Amino acid sequence: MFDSSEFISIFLNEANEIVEALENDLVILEDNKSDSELLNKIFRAAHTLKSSAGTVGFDAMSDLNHVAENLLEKVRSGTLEITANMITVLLEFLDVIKEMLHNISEGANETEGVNGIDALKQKIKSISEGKDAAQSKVEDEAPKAIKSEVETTVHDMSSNIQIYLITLAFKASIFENGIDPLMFLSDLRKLGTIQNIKINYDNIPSISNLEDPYHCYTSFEIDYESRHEIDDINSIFLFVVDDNDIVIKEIASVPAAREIENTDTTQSEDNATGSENTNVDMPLSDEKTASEDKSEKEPDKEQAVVAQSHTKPQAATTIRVDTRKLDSMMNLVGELVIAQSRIMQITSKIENGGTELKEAVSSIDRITREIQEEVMNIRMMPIGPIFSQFKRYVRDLCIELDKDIKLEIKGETTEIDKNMLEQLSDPLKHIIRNSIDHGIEATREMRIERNKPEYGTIILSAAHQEGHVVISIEDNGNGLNKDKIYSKALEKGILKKDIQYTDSEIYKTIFLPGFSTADKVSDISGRGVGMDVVRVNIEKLKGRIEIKTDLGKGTTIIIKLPLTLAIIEGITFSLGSHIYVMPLLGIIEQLKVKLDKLKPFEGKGEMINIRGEYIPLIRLHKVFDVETTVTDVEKGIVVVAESGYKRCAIFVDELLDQQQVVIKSLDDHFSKHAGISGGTILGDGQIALIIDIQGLANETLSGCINGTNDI
Amino acid sequence: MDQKSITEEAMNIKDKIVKASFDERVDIPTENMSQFLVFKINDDEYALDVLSVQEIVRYTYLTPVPGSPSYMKGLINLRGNILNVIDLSERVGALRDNIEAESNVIIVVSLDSRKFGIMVDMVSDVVDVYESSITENPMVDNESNFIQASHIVKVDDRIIIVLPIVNIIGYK
Repeated sequence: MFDSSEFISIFLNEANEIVEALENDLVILEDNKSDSELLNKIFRAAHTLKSSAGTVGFDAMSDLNHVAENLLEKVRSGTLEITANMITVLLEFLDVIKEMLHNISEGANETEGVNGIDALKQKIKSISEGKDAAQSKVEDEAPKAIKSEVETTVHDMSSNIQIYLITLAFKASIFENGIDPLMFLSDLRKLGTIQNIKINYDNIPSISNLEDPYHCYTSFEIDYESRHEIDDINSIFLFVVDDNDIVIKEIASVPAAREIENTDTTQSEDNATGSENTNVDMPLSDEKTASEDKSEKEPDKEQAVVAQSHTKPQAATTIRVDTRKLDSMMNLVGELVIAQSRIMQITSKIENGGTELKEAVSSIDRITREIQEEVMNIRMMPIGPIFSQFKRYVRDLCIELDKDIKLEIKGETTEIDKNMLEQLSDPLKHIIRNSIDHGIEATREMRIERNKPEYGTIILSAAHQEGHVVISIEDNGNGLNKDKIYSKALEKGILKKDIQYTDSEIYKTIFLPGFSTADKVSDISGRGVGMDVVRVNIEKLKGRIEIKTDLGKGTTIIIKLPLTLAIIEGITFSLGSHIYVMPLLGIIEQLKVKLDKLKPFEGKGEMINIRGEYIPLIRLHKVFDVETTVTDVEKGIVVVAESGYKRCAIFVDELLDQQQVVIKSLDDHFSKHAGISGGTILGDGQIALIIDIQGLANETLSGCINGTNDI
Repeated sequence: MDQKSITEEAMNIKDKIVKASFDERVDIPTENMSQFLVFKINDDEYALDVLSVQEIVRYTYLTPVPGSPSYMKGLINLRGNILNVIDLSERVGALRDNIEAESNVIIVVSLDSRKFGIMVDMVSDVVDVYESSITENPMVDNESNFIQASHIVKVDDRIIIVLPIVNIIGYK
């Protein structure tokens, strides 16, 4: 069939999106079993996945989906009820699909290394046949049980060889849809044997009358033998059954199958009428697949109509755009703003008249700034999808640890830069894992003893605050044990005995590498790697972590992130004739330093005494080899900065301004000083380099006394 | 008219077309022509394959980057993109008399998805060259730290050194 990599990449995009949504919806469904709309959505998603997989030729995936779809169909029609076991199996099914998708994206065979597909199919089948142990209600309802029995017989019958007569008459313009009728013949051959084929070429006009050589003039009559049901054969023609003349008749079969024949005819009738139910729940970019994916089979017409009216408003109106296009757009808009301000300057010099021109220019100015803001906004995405992926995670962990925990999600519409979203998932996972494993009490009895509800609660929330995104993970569990952490930190030599530490300084030690207070290492956490990784990841995103905790009541971990990685708040300063930017986040204070506070340490640089604390001094003009007239510490200014757990004092000529700058990375094929993280373009078009405080400290202070000044 | 004379006739016509088009300075894409951008460092003529040249901009102020190699002269702002600028004279081993003069130009080159600037004294012209007059540099010294000619081109009585773009930006 279609073997184009373009189709496959469209399919992969779509399938990954569907699987993600399905996973989330299934977990929600468990708590809202009566939500028929949600169930419909799940069913449609599974169906879309099946038919898309079939379209691009991934038959194993399509088959597996088919089995799951049958199960969902029974749930939807009310034959089966939703059970926890069913959800677990369906989630397992999604895991297998994910593995298959991964294989496909790696270019491997879809089933390579994926075990247990058949076992899973069997599991799903047995649930769909009502053999779920926890499933007793179904048996009570006699008529429904019978109905499911009938369907079971259908499955059993499928081993009989059936003979069909298939007539295929395609519309003349079929090739314009990119469909090759011969494709169907090869598909038919996969499901059975073509006994006899009659090709009718009466319609082919003589060469002199031939109007359009790209039209299809032939039709086919096929005697066909197959072990498959008529449904399966129908599904081959899923995309063409609407506007082409396709008739599949069962002409011979074992007598016992008469009952099935009835079911089949009604089903194919439904096919004809129900085929208008287009699957609307699709992103715009997949338009092609969407239009191909017509004719969803809806055995229950009324329900289908209802479903359709529900789906229409849900039609997603997103388009996928390459981020490089956004970046280049942002560059251009930035330049536009600079060019615009030049025009503003020039027009302001016109002394007499020119008011009309000035008005026009100032309105252009307003528009350009609006465009700039909008372009910046394009990168922003709601945090919701990242949050909701944890529903499944919490559920799985709860089963594994035999805990009862509710995950509450707040502020999922909070928007944050898309690039950051992707990098947030891992650290959040670590924190949630910690909350579940260490935070929430091990037993329900312990919770009741503490006058807490039997189930634990984890609240995941996000909000905009003072130009930052603040994410908090709150649990009502044990809380951090300050004494235990303190003694552990002393033991590991992280903290020193003779120094007084504030509470938050003690709590912060849990973010240091190799630190774990867990008495024993479990599968889930306690290796002392997790929280360190969290800190590193959050720092990479230019964020900060805070801990609030109350022993016996719970812990809240607060992550404060900038709205976007593309823009930072910075302080511009001069060094000789050049201008640099230092990220505001790392700056603690700036001060004038008297010469007597300066102490040279032989061979190990200089330290300055700031309120009794000695901090290593970095003379930036020396490090960067820049010529400047300000070499006397008293004449310039000293910026005290912190990165990680290191502090340093950076000596510069003069501080200029505080402003937001757009970060641009530099070509990494050329070496540069570790103290430079990138560049930016200032309002006048001049380039300023951005200082990487951590890199600068690491590079210049290695070997310094007290260079690694912990905390 | 027999087969042979038809072919001859066709060949004649083709020659005429080619000649005519040259007289009228119409570019007819022929297989065996290449185009090079010719520029000068000191008084020597060098060339780059024109296909990788994106544009030529006037010299502007360069923002130096601490810790970068000495031939990397600094950064320029090209319509919102920050580009590294390389002083080619240092890379080819010719010491330039006038460093960073206003008369310098920057050739913006794009290779793969990267863009960078090459600072030269001046750009003279674009030449069309028959492939037959391009010869590979017979004396490539792999030990050398400088960029060496990949090809030598003869145009009339000029001898132009073609530089391989890949080597200009790579480490050596």
